[in-house]
Amino acid sequence: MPSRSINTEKAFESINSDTSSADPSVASVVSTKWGSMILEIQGELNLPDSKPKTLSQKEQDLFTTVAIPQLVANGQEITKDAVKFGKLEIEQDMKKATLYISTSQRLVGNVESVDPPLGVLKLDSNNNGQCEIVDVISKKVVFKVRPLPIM
Amino acid sequence: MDLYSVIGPTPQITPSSSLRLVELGPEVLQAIENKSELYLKSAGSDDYPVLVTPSKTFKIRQKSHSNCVLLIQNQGETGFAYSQFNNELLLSSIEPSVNIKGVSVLKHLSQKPEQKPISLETIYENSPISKNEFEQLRPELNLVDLEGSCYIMHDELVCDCLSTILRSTIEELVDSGDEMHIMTRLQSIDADWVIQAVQKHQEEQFPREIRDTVLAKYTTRTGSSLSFRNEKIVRLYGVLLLKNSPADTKLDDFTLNLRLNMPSNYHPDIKLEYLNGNYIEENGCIRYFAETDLSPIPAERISELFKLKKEWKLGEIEPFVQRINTKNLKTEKFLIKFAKVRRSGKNIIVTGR
Repeated sequence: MPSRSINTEKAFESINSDTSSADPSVASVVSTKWGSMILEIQGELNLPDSKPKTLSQKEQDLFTTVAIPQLVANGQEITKDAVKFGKLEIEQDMKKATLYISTSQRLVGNVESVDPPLGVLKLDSNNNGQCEIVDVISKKVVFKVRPLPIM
Repeated sequence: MDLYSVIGPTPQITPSSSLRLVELGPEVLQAIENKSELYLKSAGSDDYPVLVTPSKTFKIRQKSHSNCVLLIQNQGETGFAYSQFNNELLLSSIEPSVNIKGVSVLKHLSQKPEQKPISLETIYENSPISKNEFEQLRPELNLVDLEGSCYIMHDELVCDCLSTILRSTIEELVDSGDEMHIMTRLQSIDADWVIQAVQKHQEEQFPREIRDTVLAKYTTRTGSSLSFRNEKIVRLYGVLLLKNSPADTKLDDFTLNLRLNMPSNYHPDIKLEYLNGNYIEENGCIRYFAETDLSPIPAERISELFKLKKEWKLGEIEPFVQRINTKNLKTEKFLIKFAKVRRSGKNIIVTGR
């Protein structure tokens, strides 16, 4: 295998940006300059394999179409069906987080530092096997406990 | 923040592109911060991949997990997961290596072996090694690029070139009236002065690439000053002499011959330990034996060693077992598993079970 150069321009910008001052919103604490964040749940998140064909209006409202971020899409417009699976809230102390799943369950978790940080490596089998570290993530939201009922 | 997920999130973004999460240790992170170039490399299509910074080589391995790790794009009031991972790539620092497959050995300058030209750049590209490590390891492997084609210089050719360098330098020192301090001067001497002396005195014209490779291997450079590495030089001369000596050569005769083999007026300390891993000493005689001829399997290697000699001093056996002592245990502790280790006066003696 000949050697492949890894483009790190976006990773460099991600490391050298101060997201908290640019965007004071709570979510920015766990996001990078490019808007990437990692959410980790113990076990599995069961999502449908495809969008069901017959849906009620209420169910239909849970679905939308999203575009894959340009950070990884290489200038292509890639759209995919997406489904709403919850609501994330991060407390003012920026340490605790709550993930509400539907209207009946909630998960309590923490904002943790990722040490060592995780790079998002994009590998492209076209373009002579182009490699790029598109982002560097140093915080994540982790949910380690079982879901609790919403009372 | 409302969270959405694409239907069936995977690391595959398009049919040709995919994402991986990779742990970035301090060295890699520093390389990104310094805008240094990073590369993915491998010795061959079947070999493990490595990531290299300008000065370090990291083996890439995959750690799988059963957690649901989602990569989310934060868009203010909403976030959507577009990729899900069940593994991460870990980087662990490794000893680099150079892929010298297909590179011929050059024994005589006048008889270059026929081979498909392989450039230094091609060897670097196909080796799991960083640029700085390659530049350090290349002279150690006697790897030299002559007119766009690489060769591994035979030790005899290296020795001829080194002798020429030492003779020329010493002659020039004598001519300049420094004959009383030759060994001291060889420990701190101007690099350009040495090169000029070699150009002036050398009877056989060695190409610049060979001369520079030999100098890089057998001297230490500090700024513009060179220091000849006597221990390595003695090792080269000693091993070549041992290979050409009969098996029953007396130790005293060998030491004398070694002195005679070296350029005149070059008198480094000669210690047998400089030849570690290349000789066996028994009953006052010394014979050549290369550590690389032994089995890489620990039990087999120990058994082979006791067939060669029934009783070893710890210092003697140490160089032959270093390679198999992968956990870097104390040698006597490591050997207890395979042999009897006992103290006899000041010495530690190792015998077979």
